[in-house]
Amino acid sequence: MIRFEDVCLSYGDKQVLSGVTLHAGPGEHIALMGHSGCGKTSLLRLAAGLVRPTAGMVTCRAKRLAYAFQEPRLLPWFTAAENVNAVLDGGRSGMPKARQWLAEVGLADAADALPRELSGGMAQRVNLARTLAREGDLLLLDEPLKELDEALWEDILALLQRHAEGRTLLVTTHDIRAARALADRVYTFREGTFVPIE
Amino acid sequence: MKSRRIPGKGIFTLAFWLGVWALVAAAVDRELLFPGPVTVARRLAALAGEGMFWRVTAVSLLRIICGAAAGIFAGAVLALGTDRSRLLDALFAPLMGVIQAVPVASFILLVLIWVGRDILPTVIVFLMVLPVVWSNMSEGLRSADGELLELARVYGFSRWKTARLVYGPSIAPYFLSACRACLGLAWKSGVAAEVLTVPAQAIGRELYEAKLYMNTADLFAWTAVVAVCSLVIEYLLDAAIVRLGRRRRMGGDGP
Repeated sequence: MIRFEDVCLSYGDKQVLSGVTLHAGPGEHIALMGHSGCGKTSLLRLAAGLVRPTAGMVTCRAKRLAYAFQEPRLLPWFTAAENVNAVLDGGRSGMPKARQWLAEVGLADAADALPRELSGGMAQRVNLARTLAREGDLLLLDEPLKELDEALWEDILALLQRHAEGRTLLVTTHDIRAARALADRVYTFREGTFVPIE
Repeated sequence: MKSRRIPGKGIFTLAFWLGVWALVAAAVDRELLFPGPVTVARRLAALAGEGMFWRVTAVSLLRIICGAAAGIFAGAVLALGTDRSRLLDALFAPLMGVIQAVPVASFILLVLIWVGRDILPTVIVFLMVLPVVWSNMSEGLRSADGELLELARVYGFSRWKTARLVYGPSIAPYFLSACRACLGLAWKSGVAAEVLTVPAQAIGRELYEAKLYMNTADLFAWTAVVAVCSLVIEYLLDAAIVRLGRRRRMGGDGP
C-alpha cells in the first residue's frame, strides 16, 4: 500500500531523513516514534504527497487517503459538522453522516459550534472525526491522541483501533502504549532513519 | 473594553454638527459665502420637487455605479490572474502602482482626449476602483491559509470546492473592505470628473454651474446629495454583508 525506498529528505541545508526504507502492506499498522522534530510528520507528509523526497522513492497505492494532521486545521468559517462534511462526497447530503461521526468522538452537542468555540481537545476530536468519516484505505494519523484528556484517551484509542481494522495505518505518537495498541510494528527514529522496536 | 451602544447617538451627532454649521453660518452672516443648514435644506427641498433633480441624480448614480461595478469585477479577475501567474503579476503590479500614483485630475484630462464626456466619469471611476480592488484581493489571496490549502490537496478538493471552501471565505473580508473603500472613492472621483468635464445631466455639472454663478446654497445642496447617495449605498452594502453573514452562520452556505 505504501512503500518508502531509501528515502532522504532535506529542508534547505537541514537533512531530516536519510535512507528510510519502510513498507506497509494492505491492512498493516505501523507506529512511528521519536523525539519532536525528528521527521515523523515529514514521513507522513511524504506519504500524502505533500512533499517530494530529496532522494529515494515513495510509492503509494492508496485509493482513498485520510490524513489527521497534528494540528486540527479546521475551516474557521464552518461548523464542526460542516468541517467533517467538507471531506465527504455528495455535498450537504453528507451532514447526517458527519453528525454521526461527531457523536462517535463524543461531540454530538458541539456539531453546530464554530472552531473558535471549541477547546483544543474538542478541535482535535473534530479533526479525528473528519479523518475517520473519510473512510480511507490509507490512514495517516499524526499524534491523534494529542490534547485529549485521560478520560477520553481510552475511548478514542478504542475507536481508532476499531476503525483501522482492515485499513493501512501509519501513526506517529510519543506514547508507547498508544503505539503498541494501534500498530503491529513500532519503529523509532535513530540516526536519520526509522528502526523497528522489538 | 466593549463599546456600549448609546441610544440616539446618531441623532445627537447630527444635531451637534448641524448646530456647529448654523453657528458658523451665523458668525459669517453672509448667505452668499456660507449658507446655513436651513437655507440649504429649503433649497434641497425645492430641488427635490423638480423632475430634473431626480433625473440628474439617477444618471450620475448610474455612471458611478457602472464604473465601480466594472472596476470591482476587473480588479477581482485581475487579482486572480496575477495570483496564478508570475508573468501577469510582473506586468500588472507596476501598472496598478502607476494608476494609484497618478493624480485623478491628470487622468480626467488625459481620458477626455480619448472618450466622450458623457462616458468619461464612468471610465475614471473604473480606473480609480480597479487598483484598490486588485490590491485588496491580491492580499486576500496571499493570506489564504497554506495549511488549509494543504488540507484541500490531501482530501482531493476540486478547484471549485477549494475556491468555495478555502479561498472564498479568506478573500471575502478583503473584498468587502475593498468595496467599502471604493464607494467613497467612486463618488469622489466620479463627481470630480463630472465637474471638470461638465457632461449633460450630472451632479458634477450642477456643482460646476452653482460655483460659476456663485449659487452657494445650490453648491451645498448638491454636495449634500452626493453625501447622502454615498451613505445610502454604504448602508445598503453593509445590510447586504450582514444578511450574507447571517445566512452563512445559519448553515445556508456550508460545504
